[in-house]
Amino acid sequence: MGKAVLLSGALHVVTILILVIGLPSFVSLPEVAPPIPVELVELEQETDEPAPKPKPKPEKQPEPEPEPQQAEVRPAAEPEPIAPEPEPEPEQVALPPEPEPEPEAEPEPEKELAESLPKPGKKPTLKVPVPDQPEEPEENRLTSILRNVEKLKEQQAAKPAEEPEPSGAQVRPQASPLEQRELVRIVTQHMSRCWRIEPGARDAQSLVVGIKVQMNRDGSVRAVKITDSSRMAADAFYRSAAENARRAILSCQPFPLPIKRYEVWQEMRFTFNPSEMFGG
Amino acid sequence: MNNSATSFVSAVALALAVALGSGVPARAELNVDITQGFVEPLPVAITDFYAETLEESKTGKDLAGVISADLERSGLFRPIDHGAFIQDAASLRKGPRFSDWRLINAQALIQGSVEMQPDGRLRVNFRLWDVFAEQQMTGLAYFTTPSNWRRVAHIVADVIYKRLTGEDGYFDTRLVYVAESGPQNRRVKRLGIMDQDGENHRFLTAGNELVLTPRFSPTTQEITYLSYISEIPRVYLFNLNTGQQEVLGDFPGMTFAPRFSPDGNKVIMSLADNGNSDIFTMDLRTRGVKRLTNHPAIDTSPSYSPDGRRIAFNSDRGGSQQLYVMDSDGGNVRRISFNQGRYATPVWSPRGDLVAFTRMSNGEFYIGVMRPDGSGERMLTKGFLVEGPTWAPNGRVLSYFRQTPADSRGRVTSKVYTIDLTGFNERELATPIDASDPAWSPLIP
Repeated sequence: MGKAVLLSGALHVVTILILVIGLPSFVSLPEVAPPIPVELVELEQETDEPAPKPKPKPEKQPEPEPEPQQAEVRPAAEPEPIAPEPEPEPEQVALPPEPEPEPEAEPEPEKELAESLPKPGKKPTLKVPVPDQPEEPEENRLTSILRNVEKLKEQQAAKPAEEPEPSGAQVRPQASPLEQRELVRIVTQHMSRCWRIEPGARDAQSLVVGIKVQMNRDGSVRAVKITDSSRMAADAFYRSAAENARRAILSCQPFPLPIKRYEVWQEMRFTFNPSEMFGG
Repeated sequence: MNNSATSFVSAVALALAVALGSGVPARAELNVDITQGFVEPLPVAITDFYAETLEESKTGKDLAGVISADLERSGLFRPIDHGAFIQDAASLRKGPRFSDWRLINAQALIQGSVEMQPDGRLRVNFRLWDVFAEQQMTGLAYFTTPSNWRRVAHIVADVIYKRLTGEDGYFDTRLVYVAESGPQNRRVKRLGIMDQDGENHRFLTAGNELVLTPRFSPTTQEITYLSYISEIPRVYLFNLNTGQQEVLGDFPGMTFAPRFSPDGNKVIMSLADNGNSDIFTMDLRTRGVKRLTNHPAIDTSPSYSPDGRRIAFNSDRGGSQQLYVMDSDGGNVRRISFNQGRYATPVWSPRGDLVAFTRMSNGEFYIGVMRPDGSGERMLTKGFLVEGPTWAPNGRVLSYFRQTPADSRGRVTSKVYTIDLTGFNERELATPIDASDPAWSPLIP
């Protein structure tokens, strides 16, 4: 009996609450709704230090002045799509190279070949991101980068967590094949700890990226160039994958390669191909 | 004899060539195929946005906090703890010291500043740097009213997400869902709305009528849903900007399972008449109605492909409830699901590459995805009851709800979750009360 009264009381309170909280929401709807517009301006690559005048940069900026109003100004009443695509920033590609002490080893026809590179300090700069276990300890994301909860158990039973063999790699017949294979093995093994892939991107398995690398004797990277620059400019997914591969190379230096075979590895052509990780 | 001599000569020549080749540094190039990597969130450094005044500094910190939370929740990024930062925000204004950021393994660096303008608006600058390539990846400034800072944070997070992944962002979005309260037999269901991160929660309807299956327009701030006003289930339209609510069409039977067409101009739904359900569209401007299926089986849950050319739906025409795809004029019907169990509520991804669905098999519910031709089927999550998948506008993340079985006192709980289409990064989206049937908005215009 007492329970019923309590329950009824509680229900009444709930009902009243619903009336109180719920009803006015209709009235106050405009609060929910029209999102406040935001204006957008593109910034050039320079510091935010207060300067009397923005230095006129040589890049072809779509907006001549990095200052206010020339951006798409949104009428307050009718919000417009704000920043959906801050334009493909063509200027990124044409960025002037940062001070690079070492002159180009061999000038290539394309002048943006060598993108500016950080000199890796003496110290083995970065802690290489170790592919240690992510949140789900029961799964290995190396062997199941796309998850299927139904197949999980079978998958784990079927695929031991061992690392698959480090890829086939071919080399030009300049050094002894055996020697080259060994160098390739060192590089692939080293790189597998640095290359982070993004398996959820559209057609992620088919984003194959080629990168040319020039090396210094100490195993550091002198220059990297993403080979397919036109696709870089046209395809955001490819650009993202390519930049990611470039980061992998840069973050992986120095490479533990034997100095006495420098002439063999001073130039490398990387092909990043994730398809195997998706099961071929 | 002759042969072996030739082969000897060529062997020597080859050996010579190899020896010479390895000695010549000229264009020797080592080809390396990298086929093995790892999947892990990208470490990013998000600094508090710099400001001169105390109040602006707080906004700067809040902005960085929301951006950081957005990126972290996506599962693709790992914001680095501020305690590890070496370069401070003030000196960062002169430009990043990349070596400092490499030391803490920040792959990307996000810096910004906040400044009140003379006209009372807030100016928010931000720059995204590739730490290892030592390049600015993007830099933008926004002007808005100071109270709108949270939205700017989501917009900035979207730009960063897009620049780093190639995919459109989804942080400047909202979710509408069915907020549930009360006992099972007298459940009060009303529409709730919140930002994608659970903030700015509001109720949209009072709870006098039962509401079900809200679906967002992909182009406008409108939702369509099913409501039982005067006991008759009917499809309604709700304009979020005006609060206006209207019934869609005047049909003899009940209408249900509505969804918008990709251009937002049509609603596709089921109409049940004399015990048979078929699929119809209604043009929202002309109110013209068109029948797409005409089959004695139950055809329902239609969902357009993003190009508007095809429609996924479920039907029991083959004996059990399965998924089908047809052309947008109703022709060329073909079945795409063939696994065990029953399939329901197909939802075509805005990216076009996948169809999400609910599947019931062996007493369990699954949320799964497959390609529109039926291949590549994967179950992302399962449970006693998981249902109602809805895509984030970029087609990368799904939201759905999960209900627990009734406890000893007959109580059930129902919560909204999100999951990445890779099947990882499943997270609860906190709501004030029980929640079901989420519907993800497009990016806010």
